[in-house]
Amino acid sequence: MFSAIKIAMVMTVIATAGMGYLYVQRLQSNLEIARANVAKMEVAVQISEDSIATLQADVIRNAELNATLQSELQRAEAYGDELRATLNKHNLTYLALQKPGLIENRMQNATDTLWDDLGAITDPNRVQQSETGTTDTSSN
Amino acid sequence: MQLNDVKIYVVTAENYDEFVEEFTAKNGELAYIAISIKDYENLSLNIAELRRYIEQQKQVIVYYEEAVKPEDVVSDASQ
Repeated sequence: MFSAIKIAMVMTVIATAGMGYLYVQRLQSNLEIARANVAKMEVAVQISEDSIATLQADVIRNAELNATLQSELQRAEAYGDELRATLNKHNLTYLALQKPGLIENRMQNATDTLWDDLGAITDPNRVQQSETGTTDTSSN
Repeated sequence: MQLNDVKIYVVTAENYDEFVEEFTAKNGELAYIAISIKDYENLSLNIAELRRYIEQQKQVIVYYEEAVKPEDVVSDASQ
């Protein structure tokens, strides 16, 4: 009877130890899976952070490009504005009647300059350079 | 784009005879196209509009070229 109790106790201890071992094994296995998941999550977070950084950089770059474009588009208006101001400022009919030779020279020079400018701004080798506007107040 | 030269004459009643003489000597015939001062101004403004349009289209092209440029090229250029 006593030995049966001893055997039962030993069996209980062995069973408890076995269950404990299995429990620890399962815990370790779960821990490994959790570690692997954390590693994957870290990679995913890193990728997301990189994407956000790229997007933010793109937003900044696009804003800069847009600002440059708007400024260049406005700069392209300069020649026309200059010309309108010149035409408003001077009465060409009066000037032509008073000094036809002088006006003829001014018109000729302005026209020649305009053709040169048009040639320059359509030159494919100078696409990134701007030649908008003139310093000549007698714009054609 | 290469543009051809254009000779402009400003003609009034006072210098008309001089103009006829010079023009005939240069061109052989006395046949010309006249344009009023107002129409000359309009022509100038029209050409200015064309110039503005060309310039702006050029800037739009530059914008798109920059926008689609790969990032490494952009960062290399900014260094």
